Amino acid sequence: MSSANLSASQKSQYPNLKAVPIAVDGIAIIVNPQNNISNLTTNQTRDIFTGNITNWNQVGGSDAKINVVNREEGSGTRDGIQKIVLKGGNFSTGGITQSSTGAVRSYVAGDSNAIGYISFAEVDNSVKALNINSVAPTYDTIANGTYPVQRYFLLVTNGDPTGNAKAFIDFTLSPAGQAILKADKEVAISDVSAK
Amino acid sequence: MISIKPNRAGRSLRRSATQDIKGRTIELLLLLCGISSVCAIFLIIIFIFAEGLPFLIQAGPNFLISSVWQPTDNFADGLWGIFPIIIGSLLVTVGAVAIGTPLGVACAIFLAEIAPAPVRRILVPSVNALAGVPSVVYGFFGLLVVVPWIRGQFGGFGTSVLASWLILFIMILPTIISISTDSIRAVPKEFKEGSLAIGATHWQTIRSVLVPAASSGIIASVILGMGRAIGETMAVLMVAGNSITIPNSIFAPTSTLTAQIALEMGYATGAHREALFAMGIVLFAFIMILTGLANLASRRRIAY
Repeated sequence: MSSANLSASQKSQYPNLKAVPIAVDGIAIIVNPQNNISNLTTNQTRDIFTGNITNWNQVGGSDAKINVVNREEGSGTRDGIQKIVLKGGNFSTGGITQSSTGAVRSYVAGDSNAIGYISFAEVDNSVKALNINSVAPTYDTIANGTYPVQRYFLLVTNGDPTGNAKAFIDFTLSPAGQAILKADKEVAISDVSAK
Repeated sequence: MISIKPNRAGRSLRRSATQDIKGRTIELLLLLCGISSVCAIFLIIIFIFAEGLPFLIQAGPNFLISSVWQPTDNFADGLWGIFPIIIGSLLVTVGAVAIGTPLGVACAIFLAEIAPAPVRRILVPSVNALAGVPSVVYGFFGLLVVVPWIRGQFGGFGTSVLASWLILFIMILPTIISISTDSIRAVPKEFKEGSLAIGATHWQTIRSVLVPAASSGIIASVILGMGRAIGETMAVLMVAGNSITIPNSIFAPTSTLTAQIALEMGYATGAHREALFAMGIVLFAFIMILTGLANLASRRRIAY
């Protein structure tokens, strides 16, 4: 399973890799529930993660330093933010790095000045998912593409899938498999509007 | 008499022949164990160098002195500077050792010389228990207790150089305490008796005779503690913040070589993966230097 598109060098090193999209996952920009900010534009979000905006009062919040929480290099979620929000720009080195979705979420839940990003499916009450360009991340806004920060979940095989791997991919794409993904707040491929 | 002697000699010869075979078999097995562990170490070294050395040569000295770390799976697209990570590793290690050494040595002196037997019976197992706590537990304690405390008291992220020091110094205490205690105990009795006999107090004896005589062991314990600190991964990963910048205060986040390798290994491919192995080589060099120093220190025995 990969949450980042295959890179050019991965493709050149393993030319037979086949990627099958199985769901679309929104990436929620999360802050502490005590934070009075509830909306950011994509540009504001970009500037926060690149380090151009460092205080919450620059985006209408209280006067406090923004504590940026990143995922590690190589993470699909980090890759998604870098491509979609940062448009390929670089993350500021001023933030901290946590090694998992759960670690980012629990850090943000404990620090009222923190901002991070996790899979929409992993958002719970301990954190607040921000609206981006005034669009809240929901199943529908991710499915119809109005919530901009989203990426495919891919199943990757070396060569065309056969045997159990093929059976598993077929099941994942079947209504029963897609229903399981839906129950976990991942957007089923069949619900995704053509992009 | 004459008939018994060769009999006895013959029996003992037969016994020694079977014992000899047994003994040789055991010796051979032990030799094999020894060789296999040496082989394992060499295989690991060869593997790390095979994976990391080509990258190290390609990246050149820039790898060590440049400060921007933007790894990608393609060498040409990435920026490969680990200078802040090396500084972070050294800073975290030196700080933890600086806090841990006085405490550890003081505790060792107490255990070896001052503590009455009942106290020792409680303290020694407790110190040993510290060594047995998994590092992830230390890390979790740090994340839930130390990090929020630092954030509340001093602001910032909480995950910081200070948090790493506070967790690491506890983790290296058992190493420093147990080896220092042993080396103080190993000082010949005559030294202490002689010192007391010429009228020195117990404290003067400890300060001027026992600790200097045990100094090589104490230094070795500190260096081994240093090795433990620089090699610690999980706990540091959880409390350091893993930020690849040179920290401007002890409340700022930092990153260490081990934590960075563990953090990024999961998703690293291509050049990124090789770079992590190259980081492993750098770490390996540090640990070899420390181990060498520890050997030197413990060999430099004061002539009794």
